[in-house]
Amino acid sequence: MKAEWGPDGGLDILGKVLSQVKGEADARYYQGRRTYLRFANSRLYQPLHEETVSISLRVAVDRGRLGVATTTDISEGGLAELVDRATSMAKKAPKLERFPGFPQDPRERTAKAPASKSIIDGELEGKAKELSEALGLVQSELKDARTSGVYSQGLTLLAVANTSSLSRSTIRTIAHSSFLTEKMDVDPTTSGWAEQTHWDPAKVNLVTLAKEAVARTPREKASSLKPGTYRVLLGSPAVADLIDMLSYCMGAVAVEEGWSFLEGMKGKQLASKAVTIDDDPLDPIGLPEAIDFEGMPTRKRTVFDKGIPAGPAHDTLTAARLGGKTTCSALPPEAPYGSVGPIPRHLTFDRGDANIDEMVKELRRGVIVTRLHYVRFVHRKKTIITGMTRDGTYWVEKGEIKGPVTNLRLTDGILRVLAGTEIVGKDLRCHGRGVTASVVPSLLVHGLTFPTATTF
Amino acid sequence: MPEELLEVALDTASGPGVRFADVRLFTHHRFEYVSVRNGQPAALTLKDESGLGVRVLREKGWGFAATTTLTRPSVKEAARWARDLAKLAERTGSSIPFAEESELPRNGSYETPLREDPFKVPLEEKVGMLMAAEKSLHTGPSIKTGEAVCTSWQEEKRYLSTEGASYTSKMTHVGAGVSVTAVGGGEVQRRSYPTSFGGDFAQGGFEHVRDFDLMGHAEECGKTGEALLNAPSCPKGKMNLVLASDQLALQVHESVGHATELDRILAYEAGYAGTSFVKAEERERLRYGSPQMTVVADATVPNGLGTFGWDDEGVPAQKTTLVEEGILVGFLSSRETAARRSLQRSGGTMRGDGPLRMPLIRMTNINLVPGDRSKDELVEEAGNGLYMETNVSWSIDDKRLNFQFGCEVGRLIRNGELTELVRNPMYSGMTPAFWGSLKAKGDEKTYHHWGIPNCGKGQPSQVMHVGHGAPMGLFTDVKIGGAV
Repeated sequence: MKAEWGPDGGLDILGKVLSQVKGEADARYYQGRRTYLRFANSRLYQPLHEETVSISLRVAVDRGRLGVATTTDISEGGLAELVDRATSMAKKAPKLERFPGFPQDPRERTAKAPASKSIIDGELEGKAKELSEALGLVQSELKDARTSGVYSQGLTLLAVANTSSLSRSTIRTIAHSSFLTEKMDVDPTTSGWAEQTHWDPAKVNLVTLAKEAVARTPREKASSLKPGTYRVLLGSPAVADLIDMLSYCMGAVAVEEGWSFLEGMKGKQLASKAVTIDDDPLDPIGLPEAIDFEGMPTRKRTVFDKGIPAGPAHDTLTAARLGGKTTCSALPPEAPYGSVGPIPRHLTFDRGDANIDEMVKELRRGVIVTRLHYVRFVHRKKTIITGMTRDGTYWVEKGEIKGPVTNLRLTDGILRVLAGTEIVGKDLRCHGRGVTASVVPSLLVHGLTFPTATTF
Repeated sequence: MPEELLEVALDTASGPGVRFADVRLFTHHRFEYVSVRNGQPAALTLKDESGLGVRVLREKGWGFAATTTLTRPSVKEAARWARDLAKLAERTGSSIPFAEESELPRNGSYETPLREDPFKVPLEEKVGMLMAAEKSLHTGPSIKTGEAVCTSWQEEKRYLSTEGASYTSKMTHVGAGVSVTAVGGGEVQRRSYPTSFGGDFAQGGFEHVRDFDLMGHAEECGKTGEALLNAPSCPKGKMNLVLASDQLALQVHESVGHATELDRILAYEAGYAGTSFVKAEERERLRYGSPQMTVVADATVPNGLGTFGWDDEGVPAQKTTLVEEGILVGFLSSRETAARRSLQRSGGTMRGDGPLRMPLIRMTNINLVPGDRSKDELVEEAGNGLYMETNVSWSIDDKRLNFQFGCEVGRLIRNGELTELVRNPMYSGMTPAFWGSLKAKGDEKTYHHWGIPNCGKGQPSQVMHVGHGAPMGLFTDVKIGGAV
């Protein structure tokens, strides 16, 4: 049994689940289909396809004892067992204080966001041909090239219903690609990178991305640059790497636990006045999501207004616990998301007015960082992270690119990046990172610290 | 029905041009997560999922497809997808070698030895244990958050291949831990037990969770968290460094385990995870570290999180030496990569994290062989320097060379003795130089086999359970401190 890919898909199945629950509950039906055209060593390698169905059920007994169970077995027997497991978990759970119940919202059942018809129809051949062309282009334009990456496309049907009258479903599509191009006749090899995520595969042009990656691949050997503090031009992939990390510091649970930078900072000037960021789940440049995982219709909210932060993201549970209103930012209640709590997952910058050439000129003397690798928090409260530059790190002198430099370790605060932002680029691009999809520009930042360097 | 689905999948996947196909059917993939935070339930989740994954190899291409719907039509559709994608992959590729395996299982069976099935331990008992331990974490007003967590997994799997290999596997993993977040004076500090990120993990039953004795260690965990708030910052400079077993285990993971994965070395994971500074032709030649350094990959360690019967292409669990007295001697390999490098056979390290993911080369239990020093002797030998314990932050470049690690706890070593606490300890280095500075290792008493359930790799992303045995270790002239 699977739901049809229609507007009411999944809700009938959830209705069957909820009718068996004695007490309060909410449930999510996830149906997904995704194909990955992976490529490595300049060839298509290990492409894969998956079709998934699952349900998560959260039962509340005794006004605040919550248990969550999930299943992939949506036969009648499987659904009955799901209800038993979630109810059994709930009965044995400690009681949650200030449980508000599940949200009441009898508005329309279907929540619409832009979605790709070609993905819904399962068209893939055109993209497979485009990928072959892109791989060929790299070989012809970059001597001794090695190309790696992925093109993936898929759709997800999310239906959410609860025992308080809410019942809503939506379809979301995703197309994503990344290209890594390495020049193998340089020792150590140099590399370039391009990536893009969008709901519409037509906007993720693989040949264009391949050209971008080739253009960013240094033709000559990188020279070494002494670790230190430099002016930096962060490419949009690097900005996305940082903003993804920041989103976890902007949730209600982080504030509640005392490790968010937001604690006590509402209304203070934490970032440059050039920085305005919205949490905009419906941004058509990004990955639109019409509802959150409690089924509430999403909406735009400004989280940094000219450098001044707003409060944290909430779902109905944290809003009741900490005071406030839901920002419709709920994540799924099941592990591993359950303990993360609500976070802003669609951070979207207001665009600036400088193009990339103008930003290089304004950088004057400093480092261009295309992207970062293995970014981890060193100190969450201070938003200090560490990560390596990767796939296109350049030195700029007198406003001109002088050549590639070996990769550096960036260890600095994300808030320092935002506070030190001098110029915001005008070109915005969506980058998917796990559960977040941010729409970001390049940023020119006045001084960031690179304590060590590597050899390539 | 499950047996029939395996055959349906294999029959559909086979056909003209198909050299090899295999099917993994997960009849149950159970996961229970119980977390208590500040006396409140943070998450209680019980997952029970199933699915089937089909892998097809043609002369010049792999294809893989999976479904969670265990019906004949869905399984057939998945098998057709795998076959068609393998054909698509042939458009751009050259021949893919695949090593023979002489010890394929025929109706093999592997089951985790355990005393107490964690899924049969009453939930009330787990919640009660965690509530009590979590309460003991709150040793003072600066403990803003206490958390106690218990996690259990159970995976029941059937494997079948066109070579006639078949086995059944039932594996059980458990883990538990406590942690505090202490807040005060604009500072935030964390302290965990037995180690960070959910605690310690093992293959086996709930008896391991009882052995952790969370309650018995919770108070000390809270007090250390509080003390860290007022501790001086970690000093900066080059100095001798003694690493506790848990941090050294992670060092092995990041700078030896991933670096010796042959798929990374051969650039098949370059687009996401990265490659390696190790070159395939450097076996028997590369000096990886000091003569103190011997590292093995052992998928047979009792209770190891990376222990199993056969890998996900039918190769038996093995023990392989990766580094012998500082020299690179082996790799983590698969049947394809072993054939590409003319190795005698696959090292048996191919695993997918569930039915939906293509198997990849993954660490098994990657262990640093212990030495002969007691903890006191290592500290005495260090003379002056720093001791670090329990990871809080980790990062390494995409060739596994430049790394930076932060720990929860640091202690100054003065005149051969452990002295006061320091906060935000951090060290950095370059892999071969760092391992080259390994001067001495702790003995069996300092050695512990850790379970790490969150090793990420692959595109789409996979999260694998791996094990690491490590003693304490003394390193010289390490760059310490910096960011905080």
